[in-house]
Amino acid sequence: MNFNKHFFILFFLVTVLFYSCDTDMTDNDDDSYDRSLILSNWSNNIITPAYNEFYNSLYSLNQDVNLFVNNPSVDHLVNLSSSWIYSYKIWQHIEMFDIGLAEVINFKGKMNIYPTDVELINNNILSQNYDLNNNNNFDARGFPAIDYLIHGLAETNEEIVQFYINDNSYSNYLSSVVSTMMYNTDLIIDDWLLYSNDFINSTDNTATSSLNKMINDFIYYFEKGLRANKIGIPAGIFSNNPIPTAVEGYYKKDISKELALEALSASRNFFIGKHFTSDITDSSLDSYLNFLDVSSDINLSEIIILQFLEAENQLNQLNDNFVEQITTNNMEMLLTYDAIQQLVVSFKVDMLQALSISVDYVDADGD
Amino acid sequence: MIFPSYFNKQTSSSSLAVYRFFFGLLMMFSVVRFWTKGWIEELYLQPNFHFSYYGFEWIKPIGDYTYLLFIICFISSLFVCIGFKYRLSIIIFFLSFSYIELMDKTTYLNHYYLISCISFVLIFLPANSNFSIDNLIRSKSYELVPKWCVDIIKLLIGIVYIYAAIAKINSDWLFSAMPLKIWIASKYHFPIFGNTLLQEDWLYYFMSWTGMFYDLLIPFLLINSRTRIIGFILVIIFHMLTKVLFPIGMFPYIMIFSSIIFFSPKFHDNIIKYLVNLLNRILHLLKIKINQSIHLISIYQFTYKKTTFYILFIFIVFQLLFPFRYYLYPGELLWHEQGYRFSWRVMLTEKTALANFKIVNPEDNTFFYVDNSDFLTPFQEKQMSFQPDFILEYAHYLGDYYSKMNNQKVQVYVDCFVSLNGRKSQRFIEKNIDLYLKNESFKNKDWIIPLKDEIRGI
Repeated sequence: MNFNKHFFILFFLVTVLFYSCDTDMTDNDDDSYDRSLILSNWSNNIITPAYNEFYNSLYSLNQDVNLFVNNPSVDHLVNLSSSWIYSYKIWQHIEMFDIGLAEVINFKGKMNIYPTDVELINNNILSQNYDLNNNNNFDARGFPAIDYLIHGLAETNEEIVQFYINDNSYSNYLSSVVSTMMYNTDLIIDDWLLYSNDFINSTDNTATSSLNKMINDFIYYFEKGLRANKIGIPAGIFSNNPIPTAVEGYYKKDISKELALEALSASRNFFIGKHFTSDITDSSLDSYLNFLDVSSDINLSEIIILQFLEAENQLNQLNDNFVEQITTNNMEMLLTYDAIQQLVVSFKVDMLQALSISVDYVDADGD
Repeated sequence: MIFPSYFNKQTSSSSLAVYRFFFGLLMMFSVVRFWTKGWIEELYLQPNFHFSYYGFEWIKPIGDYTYLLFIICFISSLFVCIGFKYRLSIIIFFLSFSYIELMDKTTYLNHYYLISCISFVLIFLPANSNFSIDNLIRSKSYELVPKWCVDIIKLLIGIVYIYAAIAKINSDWLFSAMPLKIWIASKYHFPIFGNTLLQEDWLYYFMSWTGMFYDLLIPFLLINSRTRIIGFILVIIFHMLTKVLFPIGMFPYIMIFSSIIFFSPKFHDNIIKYLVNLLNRILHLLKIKINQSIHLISIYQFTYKKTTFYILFIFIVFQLLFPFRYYLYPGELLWHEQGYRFSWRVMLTEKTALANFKIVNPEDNTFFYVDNSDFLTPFQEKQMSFQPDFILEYAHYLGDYYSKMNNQKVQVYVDCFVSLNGRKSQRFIEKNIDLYLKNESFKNKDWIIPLKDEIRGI
């Protein structure tokens, strides 16, 4: 009996028929996408210049700290405060790069853990015996510690300056915080210069390739570093009550919105591949998603860019000082959280679906 | 009546013996592989919480004794392999393996279920009637066994293939080439083909259609002696291809080995001869002599023929009907997954999802969101996020946990978004339904929001 033969002929006929009917088949001729373009854009035009600018900003911050501790005055304090703000804003552009040595030494954990532990800082200052690189001091260092030291010791600038005039150990602590930050940033940048070549060339779709790691890190940062830390936790999304003391830049008071906006635009810039130093955009996630074009009825890049705009508008509604916003009308904080959460859904569900990224944490068989 | 005459037909006992031997060997290897990958620790000991099958909530990992369970499973598969105390060994294997499988449904795999099914059937078959230690102990072996004993394994394998083919007859698989398109395109880093062939649109459709026809036709190719060689070559090519492209563990090996059962009795006689020769040479080298005369009996006779027959008959009927239970649920099966498991639906969906649980205190309407990583491993979280029964079970776990903590009954809501086969994500669960008030049952879960799209198919 020729049962099987017939089946085969039928099968090939059906297949041939199917292909010849389908006219969409040939519209995607450009089938190779050079993913290293994304990585080199991130590396050359975003990460490296952002690191460099961050280093410069820390350098001037350090100078202003020296100026202040050698000659404590309100003028010098105000000056120091503004270079702290500038540096903190640049930091928003690099916190997401949890790659290479930054991941190994937990760079973000050394730079920006808040709320800062005031009691620990004061104990350190009293004892004058501390190692800020030691992880016991994880919440007594970095930008939040400086925030407390230059904005939070007392109500007025005059009173704060008095602390530094009266007791040298405050100056020492402030200097150590900044020099530890510079020390670690130095390490990261040195390593990055060596590592960036490997970074650009590691485009595989594997758990350890830099493309996948960077995308996973970006999403992780957006979800935890931005959404949860800056908005969710202070607004009480993860606790029974709001925790206004957990806002970023708590002691400076009027800066939490500015920092959140900066972080949001840094995230968008990364997504659209905008150069750090100019408005030029190159290959990044948005163009990659457009290339993949997994589903014809939606344009995910456009949706995400609109969601960024919505989140930014919502964020702009808020008080400059999130503490005030939370205590007067927390509803607006929750709405902002929802707007940012939309982006998390787009990144974690839709974008990961389109990219079919090998997720780095699941190691098991499938079928 | 053809039935009685069919059931009186006999075939060589070698077929079952070969199957038993390699099945045991493969299972030994599987257990060792699972252990050395550190999965016992990672999947069964580290998580604080385990997702149970409905009705099997009493089956949980048993701490460090879980390792003992795997040792038992290993020893029983060794004994199955060599045919030592076969009946007892295969029962213990079936029980220990099924227990392991039932401990946490996060790790559900169709081929684990297949192993449970095969080992269940093997309990009733005289697979130790030839080439076994039991032959030496009892001083007798059998030349022939009833033909249906071999055919029932073929039938089981045939069901797996054909049901897998039926499941592929849907518009996502055939007309959108989903999810193969997403999966294959993401293998762009493969040598030579990654950025060329694997990015060709026609390839995804070709693979989807050939995959469907392959599953549909392979049992027939294997059963027909004239096409068997072609069939077997196709089996090897297909499963090796899937092995290269997808992380599917032992599945390809199990299916390749299982198709050997379709070969002729003569072929199996030769394998046994070869194995006996090999064994004799080894024994000779080790200077071991077996002075055991084995009485060769022609035909194996069942002790409880009727009971065995009825049990296996019911089992096969169950296998035929159970996968169709999804007809009892409204809506799209690939979306709500009610009646999805235990039905040979293999590689049909690519889902990404996000589920955030909101705990509400009804007294003052305060709420907070749960950080899933406080309770679940990343693997569990991934599996939970798009499967309603997982979501419900987890919601109850959270409800119990926070009710106890707050000393009053909380409400549990979920914000859940799922993307299926490249579609834009949509909300999956009604966000205003207190899941803590819903109970698991076989009834339709009406709090699942239907898919805003249509997938046509069987």
